[in-house]
Amino acid sequence: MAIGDDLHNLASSLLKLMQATDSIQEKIALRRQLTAVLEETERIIAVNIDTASAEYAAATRGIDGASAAINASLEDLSKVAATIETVAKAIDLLSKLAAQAGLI
Amino acid sequence: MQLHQIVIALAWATLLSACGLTGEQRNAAMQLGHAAQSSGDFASDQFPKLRQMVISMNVIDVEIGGTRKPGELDKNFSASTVAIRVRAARALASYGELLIALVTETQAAELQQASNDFVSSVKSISGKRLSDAQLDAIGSTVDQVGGWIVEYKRAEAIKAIVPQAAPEVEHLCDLLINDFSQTGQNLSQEVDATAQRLRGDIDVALAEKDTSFAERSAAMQGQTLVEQADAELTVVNAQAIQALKALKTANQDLVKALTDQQYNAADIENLGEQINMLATAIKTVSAR
Repeated sequence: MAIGDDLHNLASSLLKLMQATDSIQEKIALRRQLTAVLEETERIIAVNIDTASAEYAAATRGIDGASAAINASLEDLSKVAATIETVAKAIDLLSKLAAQAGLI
Repeated sequence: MQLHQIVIALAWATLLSACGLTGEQRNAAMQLGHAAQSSGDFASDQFPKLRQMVISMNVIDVEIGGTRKPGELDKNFSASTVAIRVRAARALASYGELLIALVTETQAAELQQASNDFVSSVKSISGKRLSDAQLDAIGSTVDQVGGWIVEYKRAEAIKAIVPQAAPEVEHLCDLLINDFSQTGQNLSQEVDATAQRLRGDIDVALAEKDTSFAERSAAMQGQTLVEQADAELTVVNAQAIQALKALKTANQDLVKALTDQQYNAADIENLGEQINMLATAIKTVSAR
């Protein structure tokens, strides 16, 4: 992040000089330099933001995939109780069949 | 049931229960889930807030006849730029929330109900051949084995999903750290550059003799906005960076803790502390 620090520090130094002088002409001249530094800073930021946006989208897809896997696992956990219920229903059915056959 | 069948059943049950998460692993996963959720929630609120700050500062800059062009009020902070980041932050929060759900999900009530139904079914088929005590024993065994299976499945899922998601979580943390850094050449540096531009333009506007009262008044409002932006960058965002760095380390720790049962995930405690400090920083600056 050295460039970011350098640009920030350069702009801060120009601002201090502007605020230190009483001459309006000097202030305007320094502001021209400050604006040039800030325009360059914003140009670099614009490039980085575009690159980062693509990376954000890729990371989001990856994390959404992990969340989908967790959702599937949560569903899978609920199947344990559902399986026991299925067995219970099968036993019920067997019980009814056995009763009809006079076995119990 | 023959003796050897009982021994096999007990061996399976022991094996399943041993394959569950350790207390340390569970705690580490839970802490990471909470931190991911808090960080994601914070970031999804913070990006629109920073955009609004930039627009407000630029509006004042235009009002006082500064150097900002009226067509660039949301310079580098377009709605689509913010939307991509909010979407990513929401994904991180959602991942954290689901991780907590997976760690805490016991299916206790569902298993209890299922084992009750199982017992009543067995009761109906066994007639009076089984005593109440025997039926109770069957019920609690079904319940317990169901619980072990849930533990086993849960542990398997966490051990598979967390390491796989870890590089994406880490990369997202890096992206957010860059965006929240005042000199990271990303969004927060745009906030900083906007504030510096406005400071310079306020200085000139207040020094010029023909500046109107309305412009001077706007300049003073601008001064307040610049100070709020500075506080947001140096207090809230700076603490968010610390929390995100802690989240990154804890994420790496959790992966190690899941693969090595002896691993002591010490950084997890630091994570909770950083998240609490972030909450304090937010309250300090914006009373959110």
